[in-house]
Amino acid sequence: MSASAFSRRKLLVGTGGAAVLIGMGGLSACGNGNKGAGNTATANSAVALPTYVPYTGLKPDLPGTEEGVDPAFRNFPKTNPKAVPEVPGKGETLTAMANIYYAAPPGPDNNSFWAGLNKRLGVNLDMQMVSNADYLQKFPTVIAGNELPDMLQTPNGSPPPIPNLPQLLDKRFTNLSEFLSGDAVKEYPMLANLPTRTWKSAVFNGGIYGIPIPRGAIGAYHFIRLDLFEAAGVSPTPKSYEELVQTSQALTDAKKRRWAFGLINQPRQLLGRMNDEPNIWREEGGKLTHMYETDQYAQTITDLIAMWKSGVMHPDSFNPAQPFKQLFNAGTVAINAADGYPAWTQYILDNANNPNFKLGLMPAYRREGGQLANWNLGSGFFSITLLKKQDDKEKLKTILRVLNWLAAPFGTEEYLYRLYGEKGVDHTVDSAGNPVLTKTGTANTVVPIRYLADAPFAIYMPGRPQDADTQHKYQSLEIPTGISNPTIGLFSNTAASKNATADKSFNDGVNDIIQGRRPFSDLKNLVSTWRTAAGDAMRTEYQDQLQSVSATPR
Amino acid sequence: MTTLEQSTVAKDRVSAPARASGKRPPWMEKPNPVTQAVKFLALVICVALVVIPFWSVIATSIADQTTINAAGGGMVMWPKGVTFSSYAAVLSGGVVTRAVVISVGITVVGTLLSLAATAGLAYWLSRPNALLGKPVLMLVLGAVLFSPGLIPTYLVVKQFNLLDSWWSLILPVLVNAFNVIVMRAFFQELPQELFESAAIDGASSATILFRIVLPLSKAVMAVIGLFYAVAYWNAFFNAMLYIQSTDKWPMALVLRTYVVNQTTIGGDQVSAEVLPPQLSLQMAILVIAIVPILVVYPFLQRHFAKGVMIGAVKG
Amino acid sequence: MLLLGIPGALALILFHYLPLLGNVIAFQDYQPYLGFTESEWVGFSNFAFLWNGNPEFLNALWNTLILTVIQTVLVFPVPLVLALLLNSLAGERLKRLLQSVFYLPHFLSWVIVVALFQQMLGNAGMLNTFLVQHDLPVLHIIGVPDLFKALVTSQAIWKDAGWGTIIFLAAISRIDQEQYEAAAVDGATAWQRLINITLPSLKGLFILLLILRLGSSLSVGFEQIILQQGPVGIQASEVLDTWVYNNGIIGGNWGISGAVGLFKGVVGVLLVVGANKLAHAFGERGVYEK
Repeated sequence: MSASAFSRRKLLVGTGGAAVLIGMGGLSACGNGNKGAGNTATANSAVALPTYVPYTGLKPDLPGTEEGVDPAFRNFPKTNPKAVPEVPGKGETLTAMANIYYAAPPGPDNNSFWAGLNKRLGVNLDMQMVSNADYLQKFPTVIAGNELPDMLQTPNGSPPPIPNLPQLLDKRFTNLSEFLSGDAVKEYPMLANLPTRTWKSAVFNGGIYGIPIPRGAIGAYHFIRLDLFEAAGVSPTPKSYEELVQTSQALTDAKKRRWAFGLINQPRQLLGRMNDEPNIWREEGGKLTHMYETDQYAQTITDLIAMWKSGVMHPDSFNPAQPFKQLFNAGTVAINAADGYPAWTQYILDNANNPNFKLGLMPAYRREGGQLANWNLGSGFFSITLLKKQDDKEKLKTILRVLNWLAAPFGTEEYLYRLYGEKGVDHTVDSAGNPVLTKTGTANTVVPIRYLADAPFAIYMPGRPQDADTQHKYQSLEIPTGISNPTIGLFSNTAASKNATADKSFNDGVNDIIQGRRPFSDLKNLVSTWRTAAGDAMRTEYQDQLQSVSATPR
Repeated sequence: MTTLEQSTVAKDRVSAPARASGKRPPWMEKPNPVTQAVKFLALVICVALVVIPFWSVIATSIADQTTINAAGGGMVMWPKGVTFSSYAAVLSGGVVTRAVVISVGITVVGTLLSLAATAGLAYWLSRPNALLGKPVLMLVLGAVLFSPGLIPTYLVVKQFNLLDSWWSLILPVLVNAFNVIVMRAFFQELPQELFESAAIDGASSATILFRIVLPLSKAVMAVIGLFYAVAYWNAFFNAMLYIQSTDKWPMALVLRTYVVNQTTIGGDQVSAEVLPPQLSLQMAILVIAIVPILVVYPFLQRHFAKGVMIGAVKG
Repeated sequence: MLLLGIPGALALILFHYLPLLGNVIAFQDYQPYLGFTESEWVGFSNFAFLWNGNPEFLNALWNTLILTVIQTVLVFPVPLVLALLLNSLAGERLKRLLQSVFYLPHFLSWVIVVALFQQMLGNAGMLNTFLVQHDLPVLHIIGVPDLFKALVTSQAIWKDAGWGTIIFLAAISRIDQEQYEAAAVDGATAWQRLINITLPSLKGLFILLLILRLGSSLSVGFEQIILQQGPVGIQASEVLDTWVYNNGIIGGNWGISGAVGLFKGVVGVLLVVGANKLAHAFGERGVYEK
């Protein structure tokens, strides 16, 4: 739509209620003629994803792999090469909005880090941050408000939980294909460093519509309290379902307030792996089956019923607000399965004062024993940064250059500043060369620019080089067994809208079954209800998109 | 004496002097010991139900990680390892102190403006034959029953160019319809004769409002003022919607990011600071948010206790 | 006189009634990126839940009605009783201290209140840990569907009863002490003074608050309930506001939230008008006079 149409609409809404009512009667067909018509698999698979050009300026101690194992660094690199030679901007003001997971930092006038960032970027970055708990409410408000920031982060989720996303993108945001497709991305070498599997998620309507925030293929770890395992005398690698059961029982002592698991979703995921459930959807010859519909899922539920009965799960495991991380820190819960992998750093820091705390990782084996279970590969991205429609092409290029700077990889000079700020002010360097935030730095550096653009994850735990090896080994073990969710990169409107409710109802029912309030036979009914409500529609939408895709890029 | 002077004199006849000293007034009989005991028991139970969880909140806010671990990762009753690192972490960053100043400003200005607007409106609606009184009353009642949605309100605020301005935290909530109706009810309780005599004396509406009605309505003004003040103090949602720069965030929003997000730094950074335990941080926030209200409330309380003289007209 | 009320009235019109026009989304398939003018007009189809026998809606409505009755009968009078109790105390300072204590829970957000209840009464909470360590059976309170309504009711009382006493204490403070004195001299007991002086003075306020409360009958709490839905399931816990959220907002179906908002408002109007007429029949002033 043209700019004049935008202002006409603003006028109608702007002069108040009467005008809104006037606008009602002659409602144009403009709104709904285009229900995602442009977002087909044919169009999307025709898009040439950005060429992958890995950054070679720094060598990790343990290299990453094409399959998705993250590179690992035992210590922070002592030399920090400058990855982006030119300053991205020329003094423009750029606006952005992103969620923040931490305490709010001071604004640019009181924040030396932010001021320094602006200088290095060559722009005046005006950033609005919204607590992640409120982000889903703020996002539609901003969209309805018509004044979009230059850079806007989608709410976290795969696919982003925005109904009618393709139409929204088409109307309000820029198709970046001309700047990023194929070899065009080489003008932004740091963006070219983002893995191809991550870019897949940003393709809509036959174009690239944003910069994805990369996440490791591993997705999650199965964390365990190694010290508690050792104390109970059980192996940290139970190799079959029976062994897992025995291990959980050994770790549980209700009187001493100890349980094996803390949150129902965790053993559900772990058992899902062991029972060979699909990674949400399984694709066979163009046909999709959802995990809820499989026998393997039914097996998992049977196992969970038995586990719940045997008491190895924390009694409040069904409370979605269960503070499972705190329980893990306290040793109340020994296994924290399927927890996001970045939590490693957090757990180590939280328990720095506890000499007994030992963090370990538990691989998942097949139910019958012997072999590793298939790992559920993660979606590869956290969110996508959208660029609003601009008439000024130069401004778009500046924005891309800024994002390019922000995506500078681990260990580079830009990365060091981005995370740790100015040496001496925001951070100091310890004897091994690892940067450590000062008080000022702790408060100032949490500006959420990492949700506008970010470097691919690198395994690194300051002060504990051995952790790099532990994690790398774990990833190298599990990633080769990984299976992907075949619908990554596809968009289903039902999945972004109706499924949330249908899924909630389904899981509510399943939780009732696990706790014994409903008989196991009800599972079939729940599945068919879910299929009617959303499942079949999603399947159709996804399958239509798969039809035309010949070879699914990884 | 004119009505105005009468009411001024009458106002000074504080009607509950004996109770204030804690002694029973001479006309009151000795209470029944059984009733006393029952009352006492009831009160003790009520107090315990409130105090025990709050004690736990305070205890957890000064507990260290070891104590929290020993409590199974949950709330603590007896803080063995005491540390004020949570309070230090919250109060030392410049963000919280500035936000508190902002919140105080908004609360004071907002409460005063709200009280003025509410009193004016309630007074108008409390007069039996006020011009347009009935339709406006219906308007106010309708505001209690129907609430506008999130997006339309945002659009209106945006249209008035209030985004990122502190007025967006005051004007949209300036008048609370419920408060208007309550204040109106209190105003209606004032004896008609006062108004009639004042009218005969030729006093204008404004004079009546300021020199008769308000001085006799200290209790309701204090109560409604408290309601507004607390609402302004705790409001974070509007700030989340309308305020765009962190430097302008009020305290409630800053604290919300702490409570909801539970960490102070990014997951991939390391700090030299000893990070306070997350639970203790949350509890410290709670305490910090409540303290100012605890400080202000006693000043307002004394206005609830002051009696209102009804007998002014009896003269 | 009008002039005094203009600022307040203007504020209400601009910031409450103007956005209320946005409830037009009740008749649209509203999408934020399309705005009011381009979203598809769907007439009354958003209101279909009222007549198509949608079981989830009916369940939510049922739960809402039960909760509102419980709240009106059990939760609503508690502040009055507590105010009377406080008022009957001899010491002014004690009265003030207790009042301050009682209103503290009002300032906690529901997130914290729910967490506190979980910590105290949860299956691994303080109470149950104590029981387990003494070989006593676990008391299942949280997470039991049949106890859910009792749980949210007690939480509501705990959180807001103390705060509710403020307005009654303010009303009580307006009662002329001479009336009590005269009654006592005439031989009235404390109980009689309560029934014949205190309660009648509070009657008007109580009825006013009751009628207003009826006006929002269909709003029984959102945040409090949505936080605790997980362990007990939808059947036991879904109320109108959470139903709208679960079926409308998270799916991006904004039209339904507008429709339910209008529905609640209309029901509220009917109840307020009805209750007010009833109050008039008993000779009370009610919210507005005829």
